[in-house]
Amino acid sequence: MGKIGIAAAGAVLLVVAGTAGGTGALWQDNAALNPGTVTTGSLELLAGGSPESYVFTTLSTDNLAPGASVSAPLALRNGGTAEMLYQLADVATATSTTADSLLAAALTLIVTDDPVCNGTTPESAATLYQGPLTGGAFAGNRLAPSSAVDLCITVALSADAPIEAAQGTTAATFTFRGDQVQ
Amino acid sequence: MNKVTKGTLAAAAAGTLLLGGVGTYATWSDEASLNAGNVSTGVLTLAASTEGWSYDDGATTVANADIVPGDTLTAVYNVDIVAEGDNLKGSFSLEGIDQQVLPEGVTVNIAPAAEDTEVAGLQMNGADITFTGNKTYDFNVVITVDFPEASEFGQNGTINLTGAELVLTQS
Repeated sequence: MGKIGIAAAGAVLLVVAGTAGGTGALWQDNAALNPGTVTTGSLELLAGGSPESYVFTTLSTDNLAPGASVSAPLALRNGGTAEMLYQLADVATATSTTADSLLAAALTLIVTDDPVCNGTTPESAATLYQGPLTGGAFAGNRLAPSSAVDLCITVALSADAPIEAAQGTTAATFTFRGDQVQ
Repeated sequence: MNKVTKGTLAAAAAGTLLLGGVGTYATWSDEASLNAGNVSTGVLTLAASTEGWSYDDGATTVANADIVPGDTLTAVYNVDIVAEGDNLKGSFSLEGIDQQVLPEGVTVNIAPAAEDTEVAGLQMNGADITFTGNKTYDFNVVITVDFPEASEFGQNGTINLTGAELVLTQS
């Protein structure tokens, strides 16, 4: 009876297993779409080759006298895959003393697309901005992916800057912005 | 009796029993034909084809697509369903795309084409498409890869559609 009992139990298990497998059997048909892979693009504005903060040392100067100016080239590059509109969103000047504030107020900014940027602006160069340094801004210009534009940044101290601005110091922060073109 | 005689009688008795056993199978029988005819099984097949994928403003191939916020990639798939069966019903869906691993903001969707929102025998509720009845269906669905303009993230992502498939399932 022992062997018979085992055989009977085995038969029951087989029947149960067969029943469970049958419950999922309904018809199904598939059609593969096979469209491949899509990627998303990127948008990256590089100022002086840097994606974040770029220390614009070539624009730094000491002992700037009234009527004098300093110029330095700055390359803006579209490091992404989408066309962008770049713009100078803002220029902030950091001051801590009265002399600093008077100096900052007497500084003017000229931004052109002159790649030579040797202190004299040729007629062929387009002026993107000319005005007070603090709050300087210009609207967007197109920049294709993987292309760059060389800007010429000129900071000048007004010839009629007050004497109280002497020995002032200011640090200018230029904020450039790139927006995707639709 | 000697031993030889006893053995002969025993063998004869055994033969008689076997003959009697053959005769016990002879009973009456009758037949009645059911005449039920033939029964066939149904059919459930799906075929799909497309002219290709495109942006809203022009054709492209998906392999070359590098989408940015504001882009929508669209493909119109013509779908042929053969559903033969007296009690056949089921559903139709887009499978094989893991929405959880898509770049942030990107979605892949399916919906009936604008001209095919009402197809006899099909119940369409957005992406939820079911069918009932014994019928052949021919309709279009639109599959879109959407990257909403409001998206601020999702750069340099990959949308793997290689496993995408339309699935027809009996229910």
